[in-house]
Amino acid sequence: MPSPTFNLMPLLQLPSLDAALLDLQSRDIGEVLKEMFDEAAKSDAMADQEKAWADLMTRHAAGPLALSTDIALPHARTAAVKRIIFLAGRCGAGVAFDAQHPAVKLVFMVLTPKEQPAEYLQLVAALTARLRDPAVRARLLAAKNQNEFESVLSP
Amino acid sequence: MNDSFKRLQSAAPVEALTRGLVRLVKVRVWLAEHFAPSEWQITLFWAGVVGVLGGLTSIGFRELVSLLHYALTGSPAGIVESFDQLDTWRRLAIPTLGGFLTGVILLLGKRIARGRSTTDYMEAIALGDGRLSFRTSMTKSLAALCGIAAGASIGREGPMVQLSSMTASLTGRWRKLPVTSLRLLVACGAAAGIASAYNAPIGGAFFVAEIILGTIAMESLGPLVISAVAAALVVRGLSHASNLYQVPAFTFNSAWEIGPYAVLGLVAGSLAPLFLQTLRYAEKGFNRLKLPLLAKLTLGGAIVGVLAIRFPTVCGNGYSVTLAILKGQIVWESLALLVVFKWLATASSFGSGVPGGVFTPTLFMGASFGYLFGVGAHAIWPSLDPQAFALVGMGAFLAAASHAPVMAIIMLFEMTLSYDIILPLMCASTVAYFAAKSQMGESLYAEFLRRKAELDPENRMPEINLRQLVRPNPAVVSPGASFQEICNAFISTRINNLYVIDEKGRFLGVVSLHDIKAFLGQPDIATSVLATDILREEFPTISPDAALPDALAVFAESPIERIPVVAPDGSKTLIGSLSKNDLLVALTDVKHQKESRTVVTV
Repeated sequence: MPSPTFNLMPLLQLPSLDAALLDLQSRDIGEVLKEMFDEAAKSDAMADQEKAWADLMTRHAAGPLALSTDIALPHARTAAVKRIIFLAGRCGAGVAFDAQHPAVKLVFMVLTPKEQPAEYLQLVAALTARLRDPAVRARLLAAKNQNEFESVLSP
Repeated sequence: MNDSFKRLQSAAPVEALTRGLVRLVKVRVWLAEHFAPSEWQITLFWAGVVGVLGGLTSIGFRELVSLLHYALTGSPAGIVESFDQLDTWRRLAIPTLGGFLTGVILLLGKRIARGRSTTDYMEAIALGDGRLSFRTSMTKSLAALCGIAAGASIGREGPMVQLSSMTASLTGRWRKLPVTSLRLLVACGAAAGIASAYNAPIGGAFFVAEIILGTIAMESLGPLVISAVAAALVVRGLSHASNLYQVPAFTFNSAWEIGPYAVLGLVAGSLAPLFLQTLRYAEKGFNRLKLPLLAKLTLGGAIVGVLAIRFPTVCGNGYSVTLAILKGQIVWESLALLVVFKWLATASSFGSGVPGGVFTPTLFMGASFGYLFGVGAHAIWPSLDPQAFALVGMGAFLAAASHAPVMAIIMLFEMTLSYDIILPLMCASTVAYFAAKSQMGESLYAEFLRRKAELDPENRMPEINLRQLVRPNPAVVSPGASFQEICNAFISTRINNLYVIDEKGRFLGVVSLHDIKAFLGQPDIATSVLATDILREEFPTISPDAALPDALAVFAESPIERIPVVAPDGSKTLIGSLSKNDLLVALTDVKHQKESRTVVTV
């Protein structure tokens, strides 16, 4: 539990998932990203696939995207989406993310419109707050379908 | 307390550090939200500091004058009183010695002064860049100290204002203020000097606003007022000062009495330019003698000494004599003689080059002529009071000499705290102003500035452009900076928008404190969020070559206090930032520059 003094977060509300791929087929982080992005591309909020992918890769190259040893958060701020696109992916066997994160099991992909930095921060803050609890992580890994996954993520 | 200590001990060092950091950021945000010191508040704060320093330097100068005067004459009394008690040869010797010492100090000062620098506060504010040389200011003030303590017929407000302005200039340079802010701060110093010299904060603020800045726009008047108030508070707190000229009450018996006062305004308006002209002639006359500086000042002192043998009241700035006139303690016959000798004494002190002011001598002249006029008026119209005419004469003479009737009215009212005279004072000062203006195109101060500008055209303030207002080295982070680094930057500098630049120094956008403040309590995101994730790219920028009004338009469109200044070559390289406050002050200056240029060319 976080210390009560650190409860500045106004709203720990997560947006609803655009998709949850609970059984990712890929075994390589690059492929995982592509697999999830292809799903994201189906969203009506996607305006320019090529640009969104390029922005995601640029951000991926820029710095840490892992929240913990087993959770990754690939994300990008891009002019190519009309609203926040938020997807979850799960890979029970674990995917090697980098040297420090050899077995990532949960992947959350976020594509944010450029002019919404505050909304993006809110999403990341809410997500990290929720995932801090090991029980939540375990239940997410055990969820049988998208509905259950989603209800664990935003109760 | 105990709990949090235990928690801190049990936490991993990194986490404890992060929490400490978060707490700091939260305090900073809380302070920013509740007290949010805007640019204006910061300006006013420094204006207050400069005011306090100005008050202290004025008290210091006054005390030093008394000390040196005591050392020279052996009398702790005022200058006129102690000269009255001196024997003949000392009345001659002391002002001569004072002139000599003044010359010695000015000569020594010339040796230690380095390079070209502005030496006068008025010049530094109106023509220069706000930089006042410490060495030359100290030299001038010390020289003035010797002259004044030895009885030179000159005002002590000059060096007081000089010292106060120099302190302000040093403060501003220490704070690395851009030109316009520095000039405003020096103006605040001048206002503080006048406010403390005359215990007149309103007059001090208006003197600088009306005469030197030429505007009473709130952007500049506000800081001047704060500075003047701070200075007056210091002086009142430390030296039990009260209003300078305590005068008896006057009655205004009939509305028709305003007529003679208007005539007095005309008389003062004709005599004040004459008074100033003779001072100028005296200066030219002394220069024509082609004497070395030391001999010239000694001669000036000796002339005052000779006059003092018969009339010791010519010594000093004329304050005590003015007070005696206002109280009706001098008969008009001796006043008529005294005014001539005092005129001569002031001309020799000023003409020989004793650094000092002519403000108090001007007041003396006004009081004398007002009183003499009043005696004449009283003979025809017995209900008229010559003392009231003396008081109104001071204001009218001051308005005519300085070409600043608003300041003259306020100053007189403030120095005497006599409301009875306000109607005749307003009327006579305004008439005197217009009379003097038609007779002589420029005031004492405008003429001084014009001559300075002619002598040294290169030293004239260049046209203010945006480049001069840019404050370099704003707080920046790279796009790869972590959330924690961003928090650090917000702690170390008091800003609301942190600029993000790439490795080539190009401006990419800002991280806004407003966006992130709600998430400061999330140590988890300290490393997972980077500047690039929360960057606002649509932030306005401006080129250093843009016109000032264009910059103003940018501020008008968005509620921000600072905009990033980027290279005009299209590379968007960040050069610095422009504050709204600096811009507004500069725009006020530009307006004044245009006006003063018109005056100069007339």
